[in-house]
Amino acid sequence: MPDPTVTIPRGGRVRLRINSRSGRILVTAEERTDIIVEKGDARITTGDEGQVVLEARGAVEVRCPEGTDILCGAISSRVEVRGRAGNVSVSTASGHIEIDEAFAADLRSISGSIAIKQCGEGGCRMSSKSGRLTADRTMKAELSTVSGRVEVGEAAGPVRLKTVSGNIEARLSGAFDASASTISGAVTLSYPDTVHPRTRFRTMSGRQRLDLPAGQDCEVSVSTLSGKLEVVVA
Amino acid sequence: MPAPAAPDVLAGVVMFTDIVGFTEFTAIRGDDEALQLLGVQESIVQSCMPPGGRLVKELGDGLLLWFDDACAAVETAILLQERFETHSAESMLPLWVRIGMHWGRPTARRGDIVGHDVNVAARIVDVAGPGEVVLSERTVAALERQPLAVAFQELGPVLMKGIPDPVRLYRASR
Repeated sequence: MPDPTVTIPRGGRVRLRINSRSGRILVTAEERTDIIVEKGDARITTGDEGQVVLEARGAVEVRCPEGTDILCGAISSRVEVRGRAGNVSVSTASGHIEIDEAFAADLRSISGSIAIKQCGEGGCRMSSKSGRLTADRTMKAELSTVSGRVEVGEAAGPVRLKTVSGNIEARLSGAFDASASTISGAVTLSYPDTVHPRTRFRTMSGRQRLDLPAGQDCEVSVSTLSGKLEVVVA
Repeated sequence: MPAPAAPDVLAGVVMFTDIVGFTEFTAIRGDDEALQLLGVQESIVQSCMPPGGRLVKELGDGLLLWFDDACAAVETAILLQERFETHSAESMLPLWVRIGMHWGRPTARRGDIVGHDVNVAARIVDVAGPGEVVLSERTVAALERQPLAVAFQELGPVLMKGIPDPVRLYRASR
């Protein structure tokens, strides 16, 4: 039976790779110096440069140091990362992804929804086919889905948002560039009233609304074939 | 009776492209504009193909492409995305294309290519978002030189339906 605990040398950057086809994957990044598998059937091995590889069968719960880089591949697993992680990269086919806090995040699910509470300077990228995408607080962000809704609670950096038939709603906290495109959904971008953006609307038949005075503070591009477009005061 | 010919095994990059939202676009704008969108895609692809690259076949709104050289494949994929983005920004035709690729040894069959590596490449394109180029670790390993001004970001081990082992994927971008 392999030892389910790996002790990390002080100062080493930790990179945790997890593969599990199904079952809930829970990773908690917290103040500690080791990686421990609390629940689940997992084989844990160490590689070069602080890399820890965890092959799990079914559900697994892992605790790791704060700031750990997490790379996770799954098919139907729900993936949750709690606490403050480093660079987080998760890919699932149908499971949902939920992240508390990461320095940077690349999150992909074909049909699951994806949510992150807070993403740091590395920015967040999310991609899904039918799931809903939510970033509560982020720096730069790039989110795309086909039929899901895209929501950014507060962006303190440039955003690029795309959905085919869902709606886009994003609040920017300052004069940051924004590009938001849909084919049939609606777009609402909101800025503080002190921001004077240069706005470009592109639509075939959708309604347009611009509540902010025109200026050069940032570039805003919103497009749709048939949905409504709004750039409003937050 | 003559012995059966040895299968024609190739070595190179299998690339799939897929237009995101094509079904919705067709439903809203109709068949004529949908055909126009496909025509634009095809003409951009043909204009970007390097020596050693070829369009194997069309798959509805997607394409199957073949490249002898991994570096040429990566540079072409990035160039295609730049052209698609420019075209989308200048028109109301949304060429939101995702691209996935994998280096492997498929078998040539009557102008087509078949085999496990083709299946892997088809799964990789599902992981890419619109405007993205996603490639397997084997494609990166097959690069004989660093593609011009292209950076690779690891996406981690990705498990794909029907593929037994996780495939380590990368995102290529300028």
